[in-house]
Amino acid sequence: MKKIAKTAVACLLGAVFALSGCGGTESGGANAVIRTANGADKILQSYDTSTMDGAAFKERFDKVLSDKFSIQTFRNEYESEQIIITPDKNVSSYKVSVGDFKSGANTLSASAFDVRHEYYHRVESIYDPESSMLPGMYPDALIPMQTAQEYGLNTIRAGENQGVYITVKVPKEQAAGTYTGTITVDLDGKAYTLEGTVEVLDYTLPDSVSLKSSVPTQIGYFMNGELNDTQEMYEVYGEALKEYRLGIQYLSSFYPSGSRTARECALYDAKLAVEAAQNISVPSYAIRVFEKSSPQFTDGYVLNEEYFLEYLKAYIDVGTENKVDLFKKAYVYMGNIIDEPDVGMFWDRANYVCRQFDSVLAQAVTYAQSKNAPQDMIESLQGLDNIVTGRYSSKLQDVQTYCPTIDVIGDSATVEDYRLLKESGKDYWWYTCTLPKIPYPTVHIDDNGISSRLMGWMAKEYGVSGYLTWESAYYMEYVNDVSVDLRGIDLYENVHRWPDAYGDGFFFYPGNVFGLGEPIPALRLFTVRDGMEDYEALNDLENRYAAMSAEAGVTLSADGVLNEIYGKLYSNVKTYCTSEDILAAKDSLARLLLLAEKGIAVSGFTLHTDGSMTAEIYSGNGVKVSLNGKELSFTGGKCEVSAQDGFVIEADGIRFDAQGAKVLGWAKTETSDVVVYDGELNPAEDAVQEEEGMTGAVIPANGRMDLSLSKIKVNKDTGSLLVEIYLDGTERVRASVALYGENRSRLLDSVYLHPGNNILRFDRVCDLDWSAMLEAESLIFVFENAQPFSLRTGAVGYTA
Amino acid sequence: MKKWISLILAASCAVSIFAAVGCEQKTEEKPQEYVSALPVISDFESLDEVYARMSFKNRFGKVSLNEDKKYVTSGDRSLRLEVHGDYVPNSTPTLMQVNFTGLERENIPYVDLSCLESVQMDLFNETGAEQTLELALVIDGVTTDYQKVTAKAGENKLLTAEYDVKGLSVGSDMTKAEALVIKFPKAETMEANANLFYLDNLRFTFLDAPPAPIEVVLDENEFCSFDKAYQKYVVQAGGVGPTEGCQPILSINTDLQYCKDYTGRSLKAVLPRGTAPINDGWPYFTFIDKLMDQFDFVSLTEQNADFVFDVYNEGGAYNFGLEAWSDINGLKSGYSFTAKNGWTEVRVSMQEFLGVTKNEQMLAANVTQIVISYGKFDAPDKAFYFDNFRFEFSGKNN
Repeated sequence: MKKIAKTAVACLLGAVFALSGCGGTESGGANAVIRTANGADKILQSYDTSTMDGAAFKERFDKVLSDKFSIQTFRNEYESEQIIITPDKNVSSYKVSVGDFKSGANTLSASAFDVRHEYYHRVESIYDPESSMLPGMYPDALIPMQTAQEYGLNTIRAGENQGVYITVKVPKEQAAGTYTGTITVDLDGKAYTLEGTVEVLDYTLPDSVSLKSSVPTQIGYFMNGELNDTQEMYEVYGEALKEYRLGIQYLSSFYPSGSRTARECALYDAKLAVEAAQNISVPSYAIRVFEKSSPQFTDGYVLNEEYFLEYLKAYIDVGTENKVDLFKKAYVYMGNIIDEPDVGMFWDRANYVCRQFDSVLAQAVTYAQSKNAPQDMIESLQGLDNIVTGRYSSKLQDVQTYCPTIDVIGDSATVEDYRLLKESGKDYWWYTCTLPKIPYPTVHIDDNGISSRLMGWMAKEYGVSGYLTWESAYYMEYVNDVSVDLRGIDLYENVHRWPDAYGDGFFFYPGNVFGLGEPIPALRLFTVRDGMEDYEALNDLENRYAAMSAEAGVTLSADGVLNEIYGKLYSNVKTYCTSEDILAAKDSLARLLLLAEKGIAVSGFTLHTDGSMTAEIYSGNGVKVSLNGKELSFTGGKCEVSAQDGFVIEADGIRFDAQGAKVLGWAKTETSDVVVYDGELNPAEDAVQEEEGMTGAVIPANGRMDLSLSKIKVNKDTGSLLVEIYLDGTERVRASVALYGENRSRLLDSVYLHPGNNILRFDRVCDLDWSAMLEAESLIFVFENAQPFSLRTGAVGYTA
Repeated sequence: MKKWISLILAASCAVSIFAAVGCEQKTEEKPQEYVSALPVISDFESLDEVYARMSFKNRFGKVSLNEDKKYVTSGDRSLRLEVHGDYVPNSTPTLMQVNFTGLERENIPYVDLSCLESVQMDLFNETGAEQTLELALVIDGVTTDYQKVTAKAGENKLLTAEYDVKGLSVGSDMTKAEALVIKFPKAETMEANANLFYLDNLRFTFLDAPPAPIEVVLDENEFCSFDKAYQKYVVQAGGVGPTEGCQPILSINTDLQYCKDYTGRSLKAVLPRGTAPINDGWPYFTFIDKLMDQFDFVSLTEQNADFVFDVYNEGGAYNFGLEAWSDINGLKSGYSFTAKNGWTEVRVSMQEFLGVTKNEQMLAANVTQIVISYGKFDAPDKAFYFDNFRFEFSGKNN
């Protein structure tokens, strides 16, 4: 690489060009700096560096630019990299093409690459108060390169950035290996070439889409963009969403009207569902529900039971006739009847509607039984999801599937509460609807693409069953509480369609504006899909561990080692990590999958406060495995291991490093490190004493415990903070946990302590606001306990 | 964006100027045939123009530019309209709207159609059968009655919808024309082919000069008898909420069987089957401002006149609302009445009707509209006949 860089620098007369040689003609073409960036990083068209914020913003994104075009990917997976072209003169016509990539005798065909021109859109205001992004021209619509050339979009102004989005999807039959090839950038006839690599891993991502999703797409908006509001175009949009592993809400665009009955519409939908139910790429679809007025409620509608039953009967009839369970992927989303009851506080009506749902479902089950429907279909029908947007509330007891915005599931205790709901037979999805805001994951144009990719990882970790948003093609603008028409090219020029959220409500731009018969995707869809693919890979890992468990008669879980990976990416659904962090996490996940392909599992991994790591390694196929260079011996395929200072598994040429998990420092807590207060914040006398080698404490009702961190270093460079606490008794206790230092506190998390030993782990401590705190002095636990209880604190430790 | 704005401005100015010229200067300076050929509403040459000025409503189907010369009569392109609709007969109609002045947001002035004679178009009807299109104008926010035109299968050169601008001027300020709406026939079923049309050379023709205005003349105590020729223009259909496709269809009835006392004429109001959502939206008809301006409602209220009219119903009893609206928030009144089978006389005292006040403002002094409204229904169309809207003085206070 050094040699290439040297040549390039010479060619470009001192420009900071660090990619391949500059071939082609020299006839009047611009000199250009050509760099690369990960597909998730938003590189603006230009930066206003006249302010300190602007300069810092530019610097932040300059840091992610690279001189390497390098992609690591599974087979059957999409991965993207951007080329950022910055010419020193106006470019009247540029184009980018990708040739075949080679690995020995194997060829990764140029046809596997998709090259798109990045269209820039003006973001005038940043509405997310915690966002560190700035106004400017953001890339979003990704126009096929050929189309951009045909419509003359392929120009670049001197000094501005032009992004080119290159996505590779490696065929399922492609041989693993590192492929190299050439990308050609032509600027007004002057050609530059970039050498690129694509590392194809020996693993094929499943076609299946396991995370359900609901993306409403209203046909009524289509005319403004596509000049086409036919069912055919609706299905094109459905297919387009499927390409990004998302499910359109309804399979058809028809509903009962005039003389067209509910039965007719339902039969039409059900027939479409036959194909969708059998297509593993379709994650989910909704069964329509309709509203009706009720004299019982003046604050809104209730469920039209008659229509709903007609729909269910039609699905039962068609499913039975075709021997396909049409309910397994189906769900009901009542956004048109009881949207966000927690916000509108119409608890009674929401519960009433949910009971209506249950009642109709019971009638449908009776009908299905009378029609001799298959038992598995009846069971799916009984379990039909009824999704209600809004968070769990004790006032919404009759809701079956809660769907809060992502930020609601924002701490460990809440995650645990929702998991318990699931165990009790209920379920939960999550959704985005202008909310949440940065630093929570968003699909906003002015958010870096990392957060939307992380949604897939988070959904897997937190057991979220589905993702819902409010619209994919809002070809309108919301002005003064009314949606007004926005048409044609204005849909590209105006992305401020919703008052406080750029990009919310649309994942597409109308292709018809550029002569295409399908919509043009937003960059955000690519990052969402990356996250959905990551979810699928995580899910596949889980499935493989489950299969190995079943085969060997043992219980294997990757949760522990995955926690190490999750902990490097985010904490409590807040996203501050970089694209580099995601690539590292993806690489670790890939290695776990490759090990699993060999029949090797890393189960029960635990990083202890004293820096030790324990796990159980499983090798079902007799493949030799080493830990930190030492070969392991297996009994019945299992080997319990313990390590300090590193955890590197190697087997059959595959090397897995548990994310460099390493405790940099730890200390045992002593009685002098612990102070307990009562609910009035008065020091509790004699509450702390040494017990069985640990520090015991009796916590008064609604008490507080301060745990000194003076023996370890917790600051802006800290990765994770580990705390060992043994809880006496039989009841779990909830606590808010914060770091304290220099008269300031920073909330870390809310957690439950469970009876027995707990290793509490707070990840990405570095993400907290350290601007006014050099080092944390103590950890504050504020408990929610009606009765006093006792606990014992063990060691505290921290990682990088 | 700039390019778009200038395009819209150019298009709109052209129409405005030509429309205005049509009335005031053309007879002196331009031969008639030249003027008539000028005001092209659209020649359908660019997609940009289609996006900027046209909208297609209610599951219209698929719209594109055609370059097949077989279906082009002017310029290089025409508009290809593949009309689908929702495949449900008698429900929401498929509408194409051509805004004369670009999008509303551009805040471009209205177009003066005071001299409008007709709207013409070249239409290729590729449905294989004769079809009926309906055209209406949007004048100052109000859609005029639809004019039906019949298109034979195949080419229809200069298909014409003539407008009685003299009559339209009674109820509408023709200098404030906004758009042309064309109702296309929708496909009958999803399985059937869509109705295919090619549209080109859409334009106005103009009269040499604006016609002399019709004066509103009333008999003593008359509000509206529908017996006078101009009175066919004094009612307008409308709706609160989603009422597209089910607003009343209003016409003058000359069949004496449906005229009170078998004399004169009456207003026929056909109430179409409601379109979805049935439980939302209230269609109505109202009387034009020019008629309302004839009355001193304060005086009538002080005299405690009765507001009276007759309604004929061939079917089962049906409920209407009689409402009075003002521009003051909350200052309005409403009564319900039942049109029983046969003739029903509806009578309300003006003191009750317009004597209401809010914040010391009396409705009679501020009333802008008298409205007859009803709820949507999911049943076949209903027809009612209204006659002899009048004031009666019972001798109570006068």
